[in-house]
Amino acid sequence: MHPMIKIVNLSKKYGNSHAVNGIDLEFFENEQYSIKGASGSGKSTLLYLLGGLDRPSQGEIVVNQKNLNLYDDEQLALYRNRFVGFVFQFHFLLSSMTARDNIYLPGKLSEHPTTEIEKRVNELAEYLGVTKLLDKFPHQLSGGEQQRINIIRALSLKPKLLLCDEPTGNLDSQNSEKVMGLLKQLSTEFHSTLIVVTHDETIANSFTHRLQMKDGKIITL
Amino acid sequence: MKSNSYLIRSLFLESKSSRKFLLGVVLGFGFSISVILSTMGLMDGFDLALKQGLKKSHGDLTISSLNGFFNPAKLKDQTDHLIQVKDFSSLVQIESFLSFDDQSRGVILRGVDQFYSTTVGQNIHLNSGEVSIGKEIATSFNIKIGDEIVLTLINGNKNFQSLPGLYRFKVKTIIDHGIYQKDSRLVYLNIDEVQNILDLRGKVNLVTLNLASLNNEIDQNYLSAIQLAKKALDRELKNEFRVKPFWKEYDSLIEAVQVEKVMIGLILQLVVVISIFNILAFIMFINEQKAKEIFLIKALGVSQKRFVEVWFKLISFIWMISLVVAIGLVNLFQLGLKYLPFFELPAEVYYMPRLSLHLTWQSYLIVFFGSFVWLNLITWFLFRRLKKKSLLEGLRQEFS
Repeated sequence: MHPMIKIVNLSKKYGNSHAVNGIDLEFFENEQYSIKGASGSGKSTLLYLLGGLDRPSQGEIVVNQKNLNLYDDEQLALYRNRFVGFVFQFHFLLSSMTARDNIYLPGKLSEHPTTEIEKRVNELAEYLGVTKLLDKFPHQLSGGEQQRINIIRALSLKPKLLLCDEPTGNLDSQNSEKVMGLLKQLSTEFHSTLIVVTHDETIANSFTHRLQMKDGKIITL
Repeated sequence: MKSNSYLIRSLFLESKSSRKFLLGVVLGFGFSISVILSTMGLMDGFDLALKQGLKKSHGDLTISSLNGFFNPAKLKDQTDHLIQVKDFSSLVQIESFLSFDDQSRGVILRGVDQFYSTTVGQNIHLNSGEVSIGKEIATSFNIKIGDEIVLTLINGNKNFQSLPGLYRFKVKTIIDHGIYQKDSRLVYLNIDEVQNILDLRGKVNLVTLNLASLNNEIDQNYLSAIQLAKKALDRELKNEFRVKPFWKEYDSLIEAVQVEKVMIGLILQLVVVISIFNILAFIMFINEQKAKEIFLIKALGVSQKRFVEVWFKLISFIWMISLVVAIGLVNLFQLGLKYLPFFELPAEVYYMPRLSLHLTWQSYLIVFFGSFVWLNLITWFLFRRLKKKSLLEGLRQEFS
C-alpha cells in the first residue's frame, strides 16, 4: 500500500537552528495521527510544511506521489485550497466577517460552486450545533464556538488532509474532548487523513498512530 | 486556480479609513495628471490661438517682392502652375500715423482689395473714404463706428520731397484679430484709394493667398501642406519674391513655446512621481492594516503572484479613475480660463487677452500612457522590495 504522504530527510532551518531536522515519515490515507512534543520541538513547523504553508530547507514531501518541492507558488496555493484543511489553535477567523462568511472564504477564493459548499456547511453546522451562530461575528462567539466554526471552514471543501495545530489549546478539558471527538468523527466521515499536533498527552494518547518530536526529530513512532 | 479578486479587493477597502485614503490617492494622482495636461494644453492652446489669430490677418501664404512694388496679375500667372490657389488677394501695406481726438499713434495701413475679406475670413468691405480699425485702437482711443479719424500718408512714391498729406476717413468696422499687436496696429483701407494717394498705378507690395483643398482646421496636415507649397514657390520665385507662411511673423515664439512645452512636461513628471508615492503609501497602509486578512487569504489558497495581480488590478483601477478625475479638473480649468477674470492675461505681454486649452488625442495619450508606465514601474519596484515574511511567521504574528 502506497503512503498518501511520504517525507524524506526533511529539514527546516531558521537562521542557524533546525526546527525540523532530517525527518523520514509516512502517512496513510484515512488514518488519524497525533504528533506530541514540547513547545519548540518542531511539531507545528512539520505540520505547516505538510500543509504547504512553508517550504523545507532540505528533503522532500511527496503527496500522492507528487513532490511538493516541485510545485510553484500557484500550485502550492491550489494544494492548500483543495487538498488541505487547516484547524488552527487561534481560530484565525476574520473579525470583520460573520461566521458564515469566514466559512465560505476558502470556497470563494477558489470560486467553488456555492450551492455545493452551502449544503455541506449547513449539514456540518447542524451537526456541530452552531446553525444559529452562523450570522454572528467572531467576537460574539465563545472560544469553543469559534473553534467549531474553524472546523467547518477547514472541512468546507472536503479536504483529503486535515491538519490541526493545537486545536484544543484554548479550550477547557470538557470542550477539548468534544472538539477532538468531532474532528476524529468528521475526518472518518469525510475520508480525510487527520494529523493533530498537540502538547496534551491525553489527547495524543487517544490516537492509534502516535508520534513524538523533540529538537526537530521524531523520537518515537 | 482563479481566485476571486473582487473578494480580496473588498477586503482591502472594507474600512472607512482605507476608502478615505484611496479617495485622497485618486484625487492626488488625478490632480497631478491634470497639471501636466493643463500645461500641455495651455502651450498648445497658445500656439493654436496665435496661429488662428494670425490667420485673421493673412492668407496661408504671403508673398512680397524683393524689389518693392510689383504687378499682382503677373505674379498670379507665375504661381498658377506651381500651386492650386483658392483665394488670392492683393495688398498695399505701408506705415502711417493715425490721429483722433488729440491722440495719435503709428499704425500699419493696409490697402485691401475685394478678395481680402474671403481670404482672411474677416468682414472688411470698404468703399472710398472708409476704414476698418483694430479693436485695441478703438478701445484705447475710444473710437466708435461712424467716427472720423485722420491718417497721415505721403503723396506719391517718386519724390522724396513729397509732403505728407492728412486724410479723413470714417470708421466703418472694428476688427478683432485675437492678437493684441494686430488689434493695436492694423488699419484697413480700400486698395484703390491707397494706390491713388501713393500713385502706384495698380501695383502692390504684398499678396496673400489661400491654398485650395485645405480644410478649415489648423492642424499638422494643414501646416505641412503650406510648407510644401512654400517650397514649391521658393524654388521658382526665390530671386524675386519672399514667400512666408502665415505664422512666420511669430515663428521663433511658436518654436520657443513648443520647446518649453516639452521641457515643462518633463519637469512635471516629478509631480506624477510624487503622487505615485501616495499610492505606494496606500499599498503599505493596506498591507499593514490588513495583514491578518492577507496572511489568512494566502494560507487558504491564494498565491503571492495572484495577490500581486489583484494589487495591480486595483492600481490600474486607481489609474483609470484618476484619469477621469484629471479630465474633469482639466475641463474645470478650461471653464475658469474662459470665464474667470482672474485668468485674464495682460494682453500687451501675452499677445492674446485670454488663453484656452487645446489638447489633442496625442497629448492625452502621452500623458496617460506616461503616468501608467511610471505607476507600474514604481509599484513593481515596491513589490520587489517589500519584505517577504513567511506565511507561518505572518500567521503566528497576526493571530496570536
